[in-house]
Amino acid sequence: MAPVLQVQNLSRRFGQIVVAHDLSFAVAHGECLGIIGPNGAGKTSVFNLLAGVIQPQAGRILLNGEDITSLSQDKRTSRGVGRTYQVPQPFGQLTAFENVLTAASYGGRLRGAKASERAAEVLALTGLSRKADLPAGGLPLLDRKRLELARAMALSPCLLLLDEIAGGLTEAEVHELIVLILAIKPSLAIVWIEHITHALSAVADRILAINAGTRIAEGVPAAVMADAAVQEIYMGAVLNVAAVG
Amino acid sequence: MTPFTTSHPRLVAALAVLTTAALVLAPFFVREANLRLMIEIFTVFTFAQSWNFLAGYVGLMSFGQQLFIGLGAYFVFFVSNTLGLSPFLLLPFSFVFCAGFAALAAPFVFRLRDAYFAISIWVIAEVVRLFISQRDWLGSVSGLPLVATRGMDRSFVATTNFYFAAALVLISVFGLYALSMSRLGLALSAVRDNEGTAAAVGINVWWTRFFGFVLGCGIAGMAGATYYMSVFHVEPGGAFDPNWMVVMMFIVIIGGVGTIEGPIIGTAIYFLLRGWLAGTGNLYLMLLGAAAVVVMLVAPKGIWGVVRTRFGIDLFGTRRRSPVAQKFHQGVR
Repeated sequence: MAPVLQVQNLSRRFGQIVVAHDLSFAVAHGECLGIIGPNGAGKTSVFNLLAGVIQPQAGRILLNGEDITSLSQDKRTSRGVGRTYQVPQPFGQLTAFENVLTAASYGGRLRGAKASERAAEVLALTGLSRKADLPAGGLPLLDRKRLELARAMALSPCLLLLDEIAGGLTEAEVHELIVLILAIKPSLAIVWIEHITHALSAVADRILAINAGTRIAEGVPAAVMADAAVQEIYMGAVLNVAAVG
Repeated sequence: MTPFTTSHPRLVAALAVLTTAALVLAPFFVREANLRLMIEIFTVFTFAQSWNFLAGYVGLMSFGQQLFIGLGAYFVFFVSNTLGLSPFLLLPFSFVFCAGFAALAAPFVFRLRDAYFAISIWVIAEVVRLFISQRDWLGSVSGLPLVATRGMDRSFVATTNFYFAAALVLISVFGLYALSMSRLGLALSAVRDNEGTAAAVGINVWWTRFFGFVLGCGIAGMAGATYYMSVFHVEPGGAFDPNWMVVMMFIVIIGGVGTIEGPIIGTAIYFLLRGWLAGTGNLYLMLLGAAAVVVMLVAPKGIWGVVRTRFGIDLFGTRRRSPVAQKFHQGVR
């Protein structure tokens, strides 16, 4: 069986800025691939390439063996690509429930009561049931982060793209999130961008480290974290940021 | 945080039946002169509601909605006079004509965003106005009379016109309600709130926006045709007058953008003020502007926004309640 996601020699640059250079990786059903890299390494741009927000200049993206490189974002979503945003992007004037209902009834292709049930189900899963009927724009950060996950899950995706979903959460909240992601992991393929490496190591089967859109290392979490090139570039960049801040 | 608002589809359905009955019976009880005033009120309300739909439901801010008022009116007048057809038969096609015009313009104007989009429609309105003003076969600056209604019975014309205006009111209140309650209404709200996320939940943003634009412009066009048929004469300076835009924005902003009730209140206030300030000449436009500024400063969500927040009334609310929370609240009771 073909892996859920296959990325083949993906390249994209904006002028001098390279966001992806000859990137190849694959993620199977039930597997989680972590992506790490310093700020500006092209992590979110890789997600934008996978989701169809930007087009690659070279390379192919296969979903369940089918080429989706030329498909628009909404068509990819309907085929099972769900994503969360690093900075939550809810439909602000709609309630949490309506946010999730929209996903269930469009990308999730459910109608009427089935869409409502699915929406209620993912709100319960992400602990948002009690806030379901509040406007999404007024929710606190943690709830908006949860809503990102709920909205992506309402699509019943086969591929879930998580963009720094643990960022800004407390230790206890991160732990809750790990439990949640481990629970949904067997039913789909996950690509997770995260700076909180202990969270990533707890869930990811493999980690891909990138810098300037280029692969530096890939392998099991412990091996990648121990990699000399990763430590130099990734940790070095973090230290630089800390020095500036 | 905003209190819970919810939907009352049955109440709205009952109201729709009552309103329809009242509108059907109205011509039997109302004098012809008052019927004409009601046609004016109804069509101006529909203009405002079409702009409210675009700005508050689709997320498209246009400064040129008068374009479709003029186009709809000219379509009916020109085709009726040229082919000798009844203007009442042509009225529904003014919707098709204006929707079609909007559909052809969409690929170009959708390339522009926000203020540029808003102004682009205004520019098209000015171009069309100048085009018509310079064509003798379209009556140039002095405009076109409506020939077909001259031989008709006056009260028949007024009554038929009234029924079209009434139909527009029903569409722009209950039709808009039904649309916002539908799956498509959810997509329109999603695109309005965040187009990136809308695409990320599988909504085709371009076509959703296209549908909203075409529908809103078509309704404005049909209302424009109805309005000018009730005055039997159309000329480019009046039909494509940017002051139409001022009136629409006044009504929607003081009533409350993105609500069905807002423009109803706004229209009532507009016609009351116009009655009181009659005879003040151009001063009345300034006073309207001043009233709009005060409302914007005191209540940015309009009068209906204040009423809804303070009293928790939301007759035409379209909130979809979650099944979980419904259970939760039943449990509390």
